Amino acid sequence: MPHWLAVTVENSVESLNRVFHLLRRRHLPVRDISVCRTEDPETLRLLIPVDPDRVDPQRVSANLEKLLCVRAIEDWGERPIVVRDMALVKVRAPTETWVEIAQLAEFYRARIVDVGPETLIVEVTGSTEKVDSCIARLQRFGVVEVIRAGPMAMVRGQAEAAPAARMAEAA
Amino acid sequence: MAAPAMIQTSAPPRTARRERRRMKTAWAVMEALHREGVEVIFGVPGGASLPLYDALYDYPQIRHVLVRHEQCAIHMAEGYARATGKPGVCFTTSGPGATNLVTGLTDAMMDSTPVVAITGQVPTFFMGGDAFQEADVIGLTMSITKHNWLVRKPAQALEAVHAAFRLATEGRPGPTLVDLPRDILLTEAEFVFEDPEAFRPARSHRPFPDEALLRQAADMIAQSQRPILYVGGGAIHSGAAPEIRALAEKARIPVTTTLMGLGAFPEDHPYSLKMLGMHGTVYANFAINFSDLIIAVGARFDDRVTGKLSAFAPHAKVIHIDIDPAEIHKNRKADIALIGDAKQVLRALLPFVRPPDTEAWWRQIQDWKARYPLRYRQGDDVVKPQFAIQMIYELTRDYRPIVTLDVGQHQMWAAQFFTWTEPRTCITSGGLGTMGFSLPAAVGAQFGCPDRLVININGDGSFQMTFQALITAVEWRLPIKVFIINNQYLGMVRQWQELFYNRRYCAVYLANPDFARLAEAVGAAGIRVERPDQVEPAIRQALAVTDRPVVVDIRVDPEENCFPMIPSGMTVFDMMIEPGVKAVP
Repeated sequence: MPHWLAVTVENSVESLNRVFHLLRRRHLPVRDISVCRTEDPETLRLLIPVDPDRVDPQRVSANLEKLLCVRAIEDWGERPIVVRDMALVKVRAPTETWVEIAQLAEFYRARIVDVGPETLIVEVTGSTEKVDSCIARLQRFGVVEVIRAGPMAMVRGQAEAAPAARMAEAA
Repeated sequence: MAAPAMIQTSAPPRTARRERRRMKTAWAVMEALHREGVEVIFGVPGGASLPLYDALYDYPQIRHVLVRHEQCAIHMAEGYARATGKPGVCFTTSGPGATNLVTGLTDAMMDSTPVVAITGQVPTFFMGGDAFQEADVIGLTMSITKHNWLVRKPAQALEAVHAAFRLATEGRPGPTLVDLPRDILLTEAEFVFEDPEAFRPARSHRPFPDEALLRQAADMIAQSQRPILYVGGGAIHSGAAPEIRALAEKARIPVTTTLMGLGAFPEDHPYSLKMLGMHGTVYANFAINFSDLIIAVGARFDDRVTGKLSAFAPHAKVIHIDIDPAEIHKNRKADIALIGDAKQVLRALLPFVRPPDTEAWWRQIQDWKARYPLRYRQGDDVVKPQFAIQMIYELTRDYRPIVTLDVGQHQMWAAQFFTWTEPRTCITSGGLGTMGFSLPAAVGAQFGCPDRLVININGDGSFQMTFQALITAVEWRLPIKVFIINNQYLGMVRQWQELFYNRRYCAVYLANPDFARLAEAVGAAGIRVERPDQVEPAIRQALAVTDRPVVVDIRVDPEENCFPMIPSGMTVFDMMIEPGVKAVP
């Protein structure tokens, strides 16, 4: 189970640069960072799943909180969260395979969002495992290209203000 | 041409008056520096920073010290900061000027030294296009500053400068950098000056340790049998020396310091075990490794202290006091973490502290102290480096000098054979181990403390890395005493080649110039020492020179080794006291 850190940063290329630079410099073993827009156009939320067996999540957050561009860090730890990943999968699809692909898509509650002369684009949303599984099933048709947004996540059922807003209140 | 006058002590007044004025950005930056109380700037001008120097012309109360290489400027700023506790400031131009700061910024980052670097940058309309003397200074210095700012419009200038000063000194100190494009410096705008505190960047702070945690730490101390205080540079930044002494005396706990912590606890105190680590005393290393409780204050369990980390002090619990949460559990897991300013934390902790029973522990330590004192043998013919350093200490101690040390054998000998008693009197490059640090740092320290005796103990190799700082010292008639412990080798490297590379000496012999004559050529005094009986007269002669720097070239035994030594990555059981002889607990 990853340990999630939700890091709210200024919305700029520079702040992303600073965060990634720090993670690299400190040799912190993190990957799968999602960069997400939020309700506030001034900030981005970075969702960082940390494997506690490889690095103490505290160490990651203690380093990140030194950056001026970091407005807030939420340590979600083991709290219940909703995780949604999304992928666009372009598959090789002669017309005779359409029905089969459509049925598979239906099974994953995926949608076909583009029909080309030789390809279909399938949009699939859900847990990371479900998206992985859908892409795996589509492999046998010939996957041309996959693009994934990375996991987006939110704590379930919490009615507190977003971390950036709480930081502003404190200041 | 008249030489610049001797430096003066009066600092410009710090002003917090709010006022609105229209001016070019370069002048606003200078005004901001003035309001920060900056009294001296170390630097070299160049194309991109010319507007700043044009503005500097209108601020005669801020002295500018012209260096011959930007690396000297930042080491001077570091020396100034380390001696005074105030941020050191340096100016460079864009491109090569700024890239020459990289070593010093890294050094300041590693040793938590507050410096503010102000760099010129090519005009904004050239940026990103590989213009003449363009370098990506923000990208280059991102990981070696606490933060850096590129000022893209005049409105950002004051905030950047004032925030740079606030950030450099708050929390764990460190370097900051402000990059100023030339066209922005030349743009006129309306600036609102106010109390620099108004520009303090919003930071999240950890809550101060609560009483329950402090009581828990005090209980851990009371229940310990073999406690030790392990004190690092953070204690000096924090000004925690009195509290450390109070804790040691209240609980009867021995104290060892790191290289960066020298002076945080008086070494003439019976509880002092002097420095620990790779070339620390045998008794300090035995004590920490056999301890059952380490109270770490502003120290970070560096590899030069711990050796093989997994075997370091295996039976010790750890109370880690540090202002930087990222240091907790970084190298060594802490049983209790007290996050906060060392002085404040110790003050809060002291009322709860009860002395443990350390009778047996002290008997053990006294035994180690008696069996393994620091020692060397001085004969009649060749000068032993330890003897020279000990004589420098004996003959200057009454002056309470500020001493800058370079990096290598002489640094370790000085750490061992001086008796360090005061904070901010030992200035050396600890974390980065930057050869060439100490001579410019001595210049900076002398500017910060014009009334103190400043001594630079240097190596023949390291002296040649930033020798040009001597020219600046002559220009300002700084009476710095430079002692070159000249063994004609890159001595520490040679020692490693002798001990671990089968005496295959490769690229370590130095074909040196005559340092005394070199000193005289640039206007400093030069003295050469070749025999043991010349050491004392030479030091006395050097102390008599008060109108310019003096360089004393002390020719020492070329193959003297620095002991004790725990070889890199090994343990206290591998501690050598001479070649092939290990210390036995």
